[in-house]
Amino acid sequence: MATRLTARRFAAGLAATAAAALLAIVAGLALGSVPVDFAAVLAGDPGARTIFVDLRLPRVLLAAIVGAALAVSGAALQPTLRNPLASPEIIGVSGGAAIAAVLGLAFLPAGALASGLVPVVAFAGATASSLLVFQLAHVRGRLDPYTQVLVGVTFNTFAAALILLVHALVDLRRSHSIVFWMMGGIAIEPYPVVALAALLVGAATAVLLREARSLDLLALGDEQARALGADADAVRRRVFLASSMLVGAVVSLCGIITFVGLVVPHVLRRLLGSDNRLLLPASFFGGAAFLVACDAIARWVAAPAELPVGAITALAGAPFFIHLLRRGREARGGLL
Amino acid sequence: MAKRGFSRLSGARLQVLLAAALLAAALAAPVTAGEAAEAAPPGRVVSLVPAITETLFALGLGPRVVGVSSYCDYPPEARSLPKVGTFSEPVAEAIVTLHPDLVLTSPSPGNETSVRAVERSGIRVAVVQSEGGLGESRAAMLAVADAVGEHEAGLRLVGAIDARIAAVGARAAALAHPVAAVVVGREPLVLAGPASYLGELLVLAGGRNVADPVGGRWPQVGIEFLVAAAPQVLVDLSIAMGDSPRAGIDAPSSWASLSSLPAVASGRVVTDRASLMLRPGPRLGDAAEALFEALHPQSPAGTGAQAPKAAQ
Repeated sequence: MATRLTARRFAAGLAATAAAALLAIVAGLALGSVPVDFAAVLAGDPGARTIFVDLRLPRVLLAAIVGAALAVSGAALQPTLRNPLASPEIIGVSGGAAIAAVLGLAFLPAGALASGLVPVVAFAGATASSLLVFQLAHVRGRLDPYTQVLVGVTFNTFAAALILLVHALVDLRRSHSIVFWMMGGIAIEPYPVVALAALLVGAATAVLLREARSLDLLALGDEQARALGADADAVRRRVFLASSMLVGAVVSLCGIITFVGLVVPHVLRRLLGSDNRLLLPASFFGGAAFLVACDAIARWVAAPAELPVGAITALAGAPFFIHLLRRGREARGGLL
Repeated sequence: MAKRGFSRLSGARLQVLLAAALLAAALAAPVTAGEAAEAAPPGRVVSLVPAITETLFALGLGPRVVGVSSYCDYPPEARSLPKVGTFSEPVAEAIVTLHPDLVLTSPSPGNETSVRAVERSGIRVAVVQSEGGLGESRAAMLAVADAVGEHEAGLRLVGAIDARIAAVGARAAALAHPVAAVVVGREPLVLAGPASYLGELLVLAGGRNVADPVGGRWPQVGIEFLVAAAPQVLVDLSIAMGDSPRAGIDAPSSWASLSSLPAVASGRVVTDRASLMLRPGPRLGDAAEALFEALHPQSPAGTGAQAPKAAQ
């Protein structure tokens, strides 16, 4: 995608993805396991208000935040790690969050579980594991992208094994909640929690957006990038830490949601080109649009039952992923 | 390469999905015995299912039960018996070591290989089908009775249970029928549907089940559906089922945050006697009375509410 990024294309790309996000949010608020009478909501009918204000709106907002966080971190990690398969799940942070959450679900007293302590524990696990992977991925004082991928993947595998072990040892009650946590899904959280997530995701996204120009330079190789004024190592550290924060915030609240962080940046790269100054904010909006839409489908398609959102994202994501692999063989450079 | 850590997690997820399915199966009631024909009375019996264990004791065969699953906690005598794993994951070696001449279980994908291994070692295995309605629960108790050569006692047991359920129905007929929901799981939200024994008992005890229009045994619904259905009585069995969900509005204590639910606003969320209601066995009469009391707290409580040993 050698097309130059003009101000016009930048504005058009951003406006289109932002409009898609807005449209998805409207659809997400309109759809659900029961139809909502919006006149009744405005008139203050308690049942309709509960459904719309307490249940549906915070969930749609959280889906937007989570989708945006996963997609923007995937978009930044792919060029940073020079790996088209890079996605927020592979840097090891989700494994750490999962271990902590599962240990919490297995061993915390029931009262602590009820008070919503698990996301706090999971976030602590995410932080600890990101610092650990960060240390382990350093080779001769520099953050090595290949080591980083391998350490992240290995750490996740280790985490999965530990989770299987814990799951096998706890009683049926605890194992049921572990299963459910592992499936991932958009939680219905109180508004202060949604606001906190928005704050964390906003701050980390700002860090990534500032690196957009440097990420473009990284594509030229570390030496070239340095000659042009971008310290590849420093860029990688900042992207890694900001991504860790994004993934930590998201996984602690919603478990592991797949494919958003991998697929959305690839789609947008094909549609809008690989200039990261546009791609990163476009992925932010595109990820929000995709996950809000998937969650709306999950809540609506089998109503009154609700499907796990992971099923919808993967159903949409897996065939595309295969397609991408096949296309990538023919036009390799186009992926990143 | 990058996907590997991922697919490991997906493997774990499949495992957990399976476990969830097993949980649902464990809830369901047993139906017909594989070999329903009346057999020679066994001397040593192992039961892998809590409701089957209760049935054996109710038939007066408690002294012959030599091993149970780790979930078999009723009657109290069952707790001190040797444990042979769980319904979904029985340990073949632990079963064989007890030298039973009959093993009673219900089908489950998790226990199939172990149960087959036990059968190959020459021990008689009776598989009592798992389904979910009141009729199936009855059939399961009769099948267990037949498998242990107690056909007549089985008929008496089921007759006594039916009489108690019918008495509850007769009392409820004249009373108001509040809209009610029986919640068996919070994450995801699972209700007792019209085809489950709990759905049938709820209606018999004088409730209008919010899950009736959805149908099925254990329908999963969105929380919005429950709010829209506006139940006046909420029977929450999810804590006994072991849900300890993520956070916020889904936490067990937090029905309070759904104050627009009539059941919550009027303090009619019932969580006690949950483990009783989750056993489709000899205590079904008690379960019917517990539901009646939840639906009609003002009305005189069920008579003789605590007799599990219905027929002996």
